[in-house]
Amino acid sequence: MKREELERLIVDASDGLLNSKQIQKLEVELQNHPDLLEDYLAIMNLPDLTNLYQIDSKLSHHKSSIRSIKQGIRDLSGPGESFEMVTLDWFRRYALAASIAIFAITSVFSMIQSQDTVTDSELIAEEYFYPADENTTDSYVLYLEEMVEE
Amino acid sequence: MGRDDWFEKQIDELYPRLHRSMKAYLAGSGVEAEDILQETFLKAYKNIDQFEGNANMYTWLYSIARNKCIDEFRKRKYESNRSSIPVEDYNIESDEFKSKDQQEDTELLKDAISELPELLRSIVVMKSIDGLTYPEISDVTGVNEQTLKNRMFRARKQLAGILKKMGVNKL
Repeated sequence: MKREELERLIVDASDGLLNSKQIQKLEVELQNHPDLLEDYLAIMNLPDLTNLYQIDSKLSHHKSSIRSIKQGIRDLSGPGESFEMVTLDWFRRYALAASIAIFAITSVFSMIQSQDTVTDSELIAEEYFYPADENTTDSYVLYLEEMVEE
Repeated sequence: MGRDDWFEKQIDELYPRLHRSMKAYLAGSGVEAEDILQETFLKAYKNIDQFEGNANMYTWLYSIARNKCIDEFRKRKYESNRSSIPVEDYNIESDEFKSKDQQEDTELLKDAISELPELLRSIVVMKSIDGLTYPEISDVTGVNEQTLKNRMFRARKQLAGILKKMGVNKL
């Protein structure tokens, strides 16, 4: 028999699950494992732990703890939300709405401003590439007048 | 009966037994069973949808409570301090562990259980103090029954060793 199996049988024996024949067979088997036999004897000699801690079944002894748990559950379950929580919730909503409105208004103003800037820029660029030369214009007008006279 | 009423009834029914078990499990750790149970029931209520109707409510709550305890041990690094005290360090000759009467033996027995590492202590508490079956312990720990029995062997062997060092007589 494997060591692990013997260990489990020792536990069964100490739990009172083996009958006298099974215990006798186990003890014969343990003769081949002196260290396990020693453990078996020590384990079988352990005191009963069943009554080491008693259940304090009187609810009055746990009253405050149980009341506290139940209050916690009521707080979690929703309808009895505190004034602070409701106020904070509404404050958050208004703060979010105000933020979105400010962002939208700022965006509209910046778009208008940027459109004006583009127009000015385009004019400046046109003037740069096609500079206004008054002499050229005058010459062109004179040329046209001469053509008409001819 | 509504869900909340049903859950509150479960608290009334299961709290005393769970309190006894947690008290044994947490003995000597400095963690209060009441605090753990408060968090346990609130977490269970929040996650009540995860509880299967045909499952065992007690073992479900137990597994939540045990996980809470393990988290608390980690926070306090409790286990590392505990395991750093070898059993051999107990001075058998000292007055501290001399058993004079049964009451003193009972206290020393509680101390001995609290000296077991968490993995073994939890099984001893669940089986020998709380009276859970191995299938129920398997539900709580997620460990198969054969492994649990091998751990129980180690637990009882260590417990016998600690008690021998303490000089505790059989109660």
